[in-house]
Amino acid sequence: MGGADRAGVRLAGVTKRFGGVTAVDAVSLSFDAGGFFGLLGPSGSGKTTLLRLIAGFEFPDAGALEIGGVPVARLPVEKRQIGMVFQNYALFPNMSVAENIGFGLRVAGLGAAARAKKVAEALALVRLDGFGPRRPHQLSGGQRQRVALARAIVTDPKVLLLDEPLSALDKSLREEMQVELRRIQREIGITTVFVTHDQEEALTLSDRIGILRDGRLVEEGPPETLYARPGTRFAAEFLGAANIFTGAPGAGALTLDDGTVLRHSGGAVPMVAVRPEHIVLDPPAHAGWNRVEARLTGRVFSGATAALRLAHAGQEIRVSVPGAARLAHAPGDMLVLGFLPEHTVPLSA
Amino acid sequence: MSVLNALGRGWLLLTLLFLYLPIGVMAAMSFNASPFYRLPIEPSGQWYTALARNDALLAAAWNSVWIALVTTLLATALGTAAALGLFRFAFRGKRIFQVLLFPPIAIPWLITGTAMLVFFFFIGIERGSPAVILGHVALAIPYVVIVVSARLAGFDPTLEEAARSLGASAWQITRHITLPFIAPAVIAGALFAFAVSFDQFVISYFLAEPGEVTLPVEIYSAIRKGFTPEINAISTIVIGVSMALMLIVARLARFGDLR
Repeated sequence: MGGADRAGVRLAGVTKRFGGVTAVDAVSLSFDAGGFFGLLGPSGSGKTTLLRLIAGFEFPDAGALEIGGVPVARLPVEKRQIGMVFQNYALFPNMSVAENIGFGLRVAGLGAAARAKKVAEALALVRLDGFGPRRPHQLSGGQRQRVALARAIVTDPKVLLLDEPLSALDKSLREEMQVELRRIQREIGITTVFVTHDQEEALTLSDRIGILRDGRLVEEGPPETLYARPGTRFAAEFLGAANIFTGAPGAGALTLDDGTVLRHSGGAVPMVAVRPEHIVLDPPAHAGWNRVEARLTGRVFSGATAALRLAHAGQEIRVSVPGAARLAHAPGDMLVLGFLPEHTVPLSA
Repeated sequence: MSVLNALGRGWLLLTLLFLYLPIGVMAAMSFNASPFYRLPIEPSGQWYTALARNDALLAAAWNSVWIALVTTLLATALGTAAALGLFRFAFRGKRIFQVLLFPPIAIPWLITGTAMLVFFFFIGIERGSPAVILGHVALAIPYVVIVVSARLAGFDPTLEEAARSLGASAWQITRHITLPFIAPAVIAGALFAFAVSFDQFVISYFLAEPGEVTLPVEIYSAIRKGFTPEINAISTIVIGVSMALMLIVARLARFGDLR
């Protein structure tokens, strides 16, 4: 490690078709050197194909692909100097942990002594000192994950690619590995691209997130921005929970079918999104608030928060309130909900 | 329960007796001084001594061994390559190819042998050891492909992808990842190929040149001329070697799943 030359990744109009299916459709993206980039999408959204295109397991049918400013679209994976962690880790069962980690160095022709030194460094980095002689089948899931990571970074790759790296771990281990992954990535400063269908994981780990749907890049940006100001309904709903209101567009205001006007900071858009945690009950009586009247239909307590379900003109509205709050209302009561225009996010589609 | 247990044991014993009694008798008689199977057995190594002087049997045995070794080498290399190809690549007609690998195992050797004799004559390959080897290799390849393919079915293709991502060439992947994984099956396939060739009678009988026959053919013609206990002796040696080989196969097959 160390001395890894940081390389960004740039995709321009990258398209991949399998038979008649367009798995990746004209995706353009830039990953900054040293950044942690999450590709998020439901299954079948093309995120894994996109990762395999960056890796070089697949070649694009159209578009340009650069790693560190060098065009690589036609370069096979073994020549791309990437490191990859597979969903099932893909550790070589016939080799010890040290042989697994040293494999990339060995095929590159590095001598045994230099190899042993780098392997020991990599083991220390993933906190598995002394595990070198063990066999993969003697390790726990979390340890295998660390070995796979060490194997992927020991060759000083230009880019680290992670395919659903934490999906095989249970919840508590997953959270621990998220922290570890971030620490290791910061320590060696490697450009990292990872694929996940878990929005929480994407929010926790990424510097930037790209949301994919049906092979297209829907939106891209830092997690905070994407969460607070999604531009599309798909992004708003996929990244956390959102209440969507549709109505007649006007400049900075949306008129719902029942005449309620919701003010927001955008132009004339057909819909807006409001996060459940931004909605309050019985808002202060000054004019700054958007107000919606809705009938309470249910309340689900889940510890720190409680989820209220309400109905407004045939639409369900979800509101998140502190779990400890006492609710003075019973199902069937009409409530006034309020949210600020700054939390009323205009959506283009 | 214990009655069933005793019955089961009795049955097992009967089965083993059925399998091994004729062989046991033959082996015992190879050490008996009397050529007429007279009991009690008078221990003697005379038939082994006679065997050592029987040039025709020894030449045939040597022929059988080297033909089996060459067959093993060729059939294992070709069969393993075929299994790897079938595993790694998708191509038109792959299913048909796979399905057509099996019937030759079921076709009676007499028919295969006749077909080969006719075909080799037709394309101008004369009777002789090269023809015998060609025939044996053709017979042995399906066994190797089937054994190796069965092992490959348990191989995780992402292991090859992982090796590629680490910069390994196709040859390095085969050498360091794939071959170690399938090695037990390759060895088992090789032993099968050896056995198929070494035991082969019909095809060797049809394709061998009269002066250069293999051991089974020589034993057959020797018996027709008149039985001698030397045949018991060579047969006992062959059985010993064959059983050792098959025990190795059984051991490797269990080895099969290296975790």
